[in-house]
Amino acid sequence: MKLCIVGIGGAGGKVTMEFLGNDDLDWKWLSRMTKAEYISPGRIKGIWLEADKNDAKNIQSFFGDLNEGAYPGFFIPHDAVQDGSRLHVLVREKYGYDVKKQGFVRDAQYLKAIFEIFDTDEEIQRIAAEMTGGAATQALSGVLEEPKASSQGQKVNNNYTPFRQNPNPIFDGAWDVIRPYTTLGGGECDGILFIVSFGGGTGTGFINPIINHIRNEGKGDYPVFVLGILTEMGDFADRSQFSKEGRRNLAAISAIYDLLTKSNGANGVILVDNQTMMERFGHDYATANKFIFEIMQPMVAARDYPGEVPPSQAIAQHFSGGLSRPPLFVPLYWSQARGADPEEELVRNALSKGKLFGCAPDKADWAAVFCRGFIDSEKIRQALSAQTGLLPENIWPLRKMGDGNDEILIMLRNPYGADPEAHRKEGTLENRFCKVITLALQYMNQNKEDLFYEGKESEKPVSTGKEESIKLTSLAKGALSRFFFGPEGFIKDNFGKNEGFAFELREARRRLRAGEKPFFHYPMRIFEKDARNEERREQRAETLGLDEQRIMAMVDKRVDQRLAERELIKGG
Amino acid sequence: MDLLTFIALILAVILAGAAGLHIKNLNRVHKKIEALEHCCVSREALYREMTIAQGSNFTALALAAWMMLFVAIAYLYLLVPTSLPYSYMQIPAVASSFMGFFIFGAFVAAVAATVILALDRLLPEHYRGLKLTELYSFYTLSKNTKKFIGLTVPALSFSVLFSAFIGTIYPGRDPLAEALALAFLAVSMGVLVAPIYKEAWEGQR
Repeated sequence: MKLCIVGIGGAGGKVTMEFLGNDDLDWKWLSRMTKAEYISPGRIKGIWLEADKNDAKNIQSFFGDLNEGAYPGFFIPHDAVQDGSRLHVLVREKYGYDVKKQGFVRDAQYLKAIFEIFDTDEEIQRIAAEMTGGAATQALSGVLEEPKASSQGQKVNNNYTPFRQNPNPIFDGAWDVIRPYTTLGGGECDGILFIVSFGGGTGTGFINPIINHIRNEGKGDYPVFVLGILTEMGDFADRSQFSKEGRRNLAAISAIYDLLTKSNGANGVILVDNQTMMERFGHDYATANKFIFEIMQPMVAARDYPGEVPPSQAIAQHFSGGLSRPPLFVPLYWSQARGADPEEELVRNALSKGKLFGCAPDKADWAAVFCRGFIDSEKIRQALSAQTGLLPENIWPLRKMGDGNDEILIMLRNPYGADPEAHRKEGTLENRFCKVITLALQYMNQNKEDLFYEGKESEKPVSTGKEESIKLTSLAKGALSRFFFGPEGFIKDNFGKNEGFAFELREARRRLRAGEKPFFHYPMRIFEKDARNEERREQRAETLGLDEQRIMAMVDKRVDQRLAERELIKGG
Repeated sequence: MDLLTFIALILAVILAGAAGLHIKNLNRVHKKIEALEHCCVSREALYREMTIAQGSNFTALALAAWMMLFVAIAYLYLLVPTSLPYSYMQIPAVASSFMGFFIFGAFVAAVAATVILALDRLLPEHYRGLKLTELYSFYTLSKNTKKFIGLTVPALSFSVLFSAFIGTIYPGRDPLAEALALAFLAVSMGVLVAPIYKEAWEGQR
């Protein structure tokens, strides 16, 4: 298993920084002599996707500009759309969304809407296809040619012709810079781990569209995992954005909702609660980021046991095996000095002191146990089974040799449910999610205008110093209103009674309180796909198929004729 | 036996101990892995998974440090016949040459490099553990440890310089120069073999 780590947004980037540190001595004069390769622990590769150009270019120095050939590098996806280009102008005029907006105004709906606009609007698809170098007809038939080389100068397999159903320069650009690190693009990483903060702007906005984009490109079985850090309670978090608790919780729950309801989405969503991290580390975010890197080492580091080197594909299949929706994973981590027979103590400490998100371990339906050190798989299985009630056959231990301490990372799959009282107990997943949903619903009730970006300006000045404002068109407002509140629209203190995202959140809260599993059911869209367009697309594909068949038949016939003629000549 | 000779013996024991412990560390890991996997694990497979890339900058510096270590030992103990009966001074053609010290150092470095590279090229995969070029890939090293190992190159250079000074003033003696040459050598050797001893110590638990 060798993962490509993709950090999205400010917090995602900071955690990714820990994963991508150079293991070698990075003395520049020596690097010039030895032409040293940049080596990260576990030989992982990675990239940072960011929306805020100023943050990426001027605030940090770890990531360089991928466009200048730097590694590790950052990439600004919306740079793919030229300022004032036809596409930029058309999306703005038709919907009011600014595809070049930075920071995505702290919500998950912003990029979700843009993704769905590109996914549904044929006029925009046509222009996007022209922009990316393909002809309009190519876009409509679902095929666009890949540029010969990416703008970052990465090696690109020129034989590759992706199936780009709906070209979208923002997500195409992002995927084009990730792809070369993966086995799909000739790289070594056989899976992707996205790292995001649930509650920020870019991460919550970008995570679902980029996964959908990867899946829509026909990479349905490529292993994709998400490590999400759920925003803490209170208004202290996200000080740089001055973002209120309710707004962050709405962004978080929107992103998690989409992740957990897309049947062909991520292979696993690993949740870490920043509230738990803050209880451990106070407001020392740097130490918390280091700790997140540490806890993931049993999963991503090198030095597997010989003969026990599972590819990411196998881990992905086990993670989501038998489930119709992406599962949620709660990590439990413990590390202790190396000792004899450490298995039982490791499991006990992880379960009692190592939870990184509220959960009930006995309610999990499956567990992957990543260990480092000299660990007996069978003893781990027995210890976890005895302490949680999980069946031994539902526990999958994976071992690495480690480096000093004995470590364990237990990934409990869906550890909640079947307890109607759980939502009242502190430290349960139900309790935490009920709080998030309640805060999100309260925010929707009290700040309806924020959902439509009305009368508000982006709270963050862009590098130019200008304030950006968004004015949605009636088309976009109508779609957003239906998405949030259903056909009846917003009714103060009484919204989302029958349909819409608010209704689904209430239903999810009801399910959590009733102890039902899973608590999110139906995927939701802001812009529905036009059934007629889909039909037409299918017809076109069929026609193309018929044409191909006809051409093949004609070629076969002609070849047969030529062969027959030769035979006649020979025979003559 | 003078102090210099006595310390030479201690250094030799530390070096030999490191070699022995390194082999013991690898054998211990091999045995543990076989016991935990309940099957026979080939050394090739074990070493393939166990080794980790430490980076070419570090590897280059570590190799340079080991070569410098042998040069520094030779300069301290073989340049003048204070501790050992054999010395560079017994080869008049080289000892009286303007480039004598350099030729002596280059010869020792070349012998060390030849041995290191010969081991690297000739040893089969299941003896990878004995290759000095791959020594540190069997251990997890922190960035600071790597920096210290890198810094042994200048430290050993100082040791060589002080030894050269001792050789220049011979038959006169300078206890301070001897002490400094020895200190730089001993500390550097300690740093170079520390990961092996650390692993051996932790492996006891």
